[in-house]
Amino acid sequence: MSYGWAGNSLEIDLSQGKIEKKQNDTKLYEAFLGGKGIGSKILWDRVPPQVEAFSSDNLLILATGVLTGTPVPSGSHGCICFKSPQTGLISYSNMGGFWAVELKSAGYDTVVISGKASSPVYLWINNDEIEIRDASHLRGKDTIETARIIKGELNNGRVQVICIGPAGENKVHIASIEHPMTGDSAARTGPGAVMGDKNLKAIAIHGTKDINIARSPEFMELCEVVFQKSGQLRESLEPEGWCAMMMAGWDTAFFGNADDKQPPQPEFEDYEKKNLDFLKKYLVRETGCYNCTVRCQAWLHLPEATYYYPRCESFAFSLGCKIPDLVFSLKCCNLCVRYGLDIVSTARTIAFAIDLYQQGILTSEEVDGMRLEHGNAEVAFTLIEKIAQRKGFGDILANGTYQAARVIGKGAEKHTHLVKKQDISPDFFILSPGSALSLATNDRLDSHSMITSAISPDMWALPRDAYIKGGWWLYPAEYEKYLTDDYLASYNGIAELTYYGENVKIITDLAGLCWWWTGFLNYTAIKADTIISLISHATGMDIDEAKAISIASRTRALMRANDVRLWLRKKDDIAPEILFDREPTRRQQQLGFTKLDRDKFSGQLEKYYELRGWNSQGVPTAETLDELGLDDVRQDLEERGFYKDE
Amino acid sequence: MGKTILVNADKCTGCKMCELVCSFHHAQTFKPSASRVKVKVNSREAIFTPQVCMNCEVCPPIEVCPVSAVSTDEETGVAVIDHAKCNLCRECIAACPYNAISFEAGGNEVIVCDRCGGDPECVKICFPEALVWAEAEEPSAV
Repeated sequence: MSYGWAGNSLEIDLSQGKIEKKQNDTKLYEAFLGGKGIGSKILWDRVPPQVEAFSSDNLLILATGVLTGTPVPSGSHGCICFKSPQTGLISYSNMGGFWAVELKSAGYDTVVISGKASSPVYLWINNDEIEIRDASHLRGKDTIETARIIKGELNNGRVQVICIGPAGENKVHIASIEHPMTGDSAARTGPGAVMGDKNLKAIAIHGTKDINIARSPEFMELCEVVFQKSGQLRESLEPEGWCAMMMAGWDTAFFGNADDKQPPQPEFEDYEKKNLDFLKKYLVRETGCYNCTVRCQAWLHLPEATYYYPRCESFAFSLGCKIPDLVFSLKCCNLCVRYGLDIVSTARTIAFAIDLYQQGILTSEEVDGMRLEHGNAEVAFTLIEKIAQRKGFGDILANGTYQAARVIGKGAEKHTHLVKKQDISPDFFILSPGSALSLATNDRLDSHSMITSAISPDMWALPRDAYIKGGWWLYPAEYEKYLTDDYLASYNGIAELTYYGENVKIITDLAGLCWWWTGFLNYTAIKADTIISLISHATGMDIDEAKAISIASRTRALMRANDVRLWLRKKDDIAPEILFDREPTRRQQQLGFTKLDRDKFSGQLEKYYELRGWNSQGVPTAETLDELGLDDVRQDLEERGFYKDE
Repeated sequence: MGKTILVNADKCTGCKMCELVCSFHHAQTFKPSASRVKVKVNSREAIFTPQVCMNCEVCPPIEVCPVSAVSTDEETGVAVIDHAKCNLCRECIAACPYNAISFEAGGNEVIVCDRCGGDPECVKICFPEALVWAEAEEPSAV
């Protein structure tokens, strides 16, 4: 019997229509636990650098965490790993909801999908029965419709569906994989495009097998402790749940349009009251993922009978198009979900196009006769459709702002805001040096969840001291010395904070938990030591802190090695230029932010490399790789000449 | 009448924690199909309804059982299955209006809520209070 893990994985070759069930290599799972750890190992072994994102040799890997499907609150997450068409790097997207639990209940920790089907298909995983089914009738259908049709066909109310929309089918580089009617998606860096390239329209999953725990009394006892600690986390979201925070920060957000001289515009002020009024009007019910009580999702009934689950950055279109109306922004998001598009990148791409038009870099003739103006809702609706369908000018934008800027030329690059070819979220906290360093270095590229943990003491109603004393900060006591009065603008200790925060989040991912519980921005209910104990009790392995750090470091080093053998260099580990060059807005200054300093930033970057055991060029050293048991990786990097100057 | 499980679907967020703890309590595994409480999901309208034995005054499974294996517990009023008599025809599953009787995948008997002997695990875990343990007479909670 397998404890913690389901014990098996699936190999699906869509070119051959071959389905193979494999027993897990126990050693591999003990070394990488699950999620992106397993995903990055398989990608390292089987996707060499010359394989393009849109190649039948690229893999789409679904990987659950070791605690997925257990009663640890939020144990519902799984990772989708692939080589990204948007960045050309190894990438992953983490998704909650219900699918990963269903996959594990079906008896699989990992599903590796290779090849390309000759016509649209969907995958039906029903315990031991796996089927590749025809999906030609689903071609061009939006994500919600696709899930509805599949659930009807399979006639099983407990089936979970993840699928792509028209954007994924058209291989739009910013296409997402959606988990319709749950409010979840794997959106960033284009997993939907990879799935579309494989002609795989959807994956339907149902499982009824046992998930077993090695030391269940201890495990349940620890879960009980976590439940007891979770009150504050839930209460912090009263009365209107996460939804009330949906727009939090939109008066301080950072969209960076060329004519954003001094935002916020008056219309964006007083957002807290506006949010509550909005919710009173449209909120139907708060919901959440499997096995989680945070209620970070909400079911809204918008005018014209559109239901929508808002998510972070739901305000992005309001900022990008300068239309301070939440209903407009949510309508855009709803369109993105239906087409299967990443909300942040789509909003950024549209803002970028409007910006270029306003600066005279694009003319009406080049954009299909449209007039790309701020404040015009139709512009956004039309561009979303054009991007998803790759129609006219949308075909250029569909490859993301990095590639679009290179096609358009005429200095368009200056109007992009990227980290390693990916558009950044419009969050204001990237102005904090700690967050900016995390943004520049983490393997998730732009991720506001990854970069916020250090600054969480000032994001909540509790005074900073009470927050720390209450034990809500995810960092251990020795990190408290970095919380000086000016720490939001300080460079002191940011490498250490980034390193520790990143390790915790890697372990969270490998466990299949949600960052909400393990220290994203809020009341940390599951701290690192608890995650480690939970994994130990679940699997029966004995993991201590040192071992956990080495597992996290192994995953990180492997992803880094893979990225450096692709194209990543030290010069790419940098926050977007705009953070160094432009004065923060008045409101951002009031919060204590200043613009970033290149020299200080660079000093901390090198310190971060040192903590990670990477050399001054950001390449994991031979010693580090050997220590982590990654000798094959060291050998590969050696052969490619990464260590010849040493 | 004593205490019973009252369901308020309006408060349910659909997290299904009740299914996990129920299956663990009764079957020592994490397996929703072994749970005595089931969350019915209407994803088109986001309505989540925990379904569990509702102590119906007239219990249809009793009426349809061909071998008289279903009865109600005198104290709690919930349906009880006599597994010695049960011939696994599953008529009771079809007859229960609340889908409270089910068959565990890979299992060998029909299952129904037993209120955990008066201290239901699902109620203890339900943070939104969609499931509460209260006197059956309180109509406001239903």
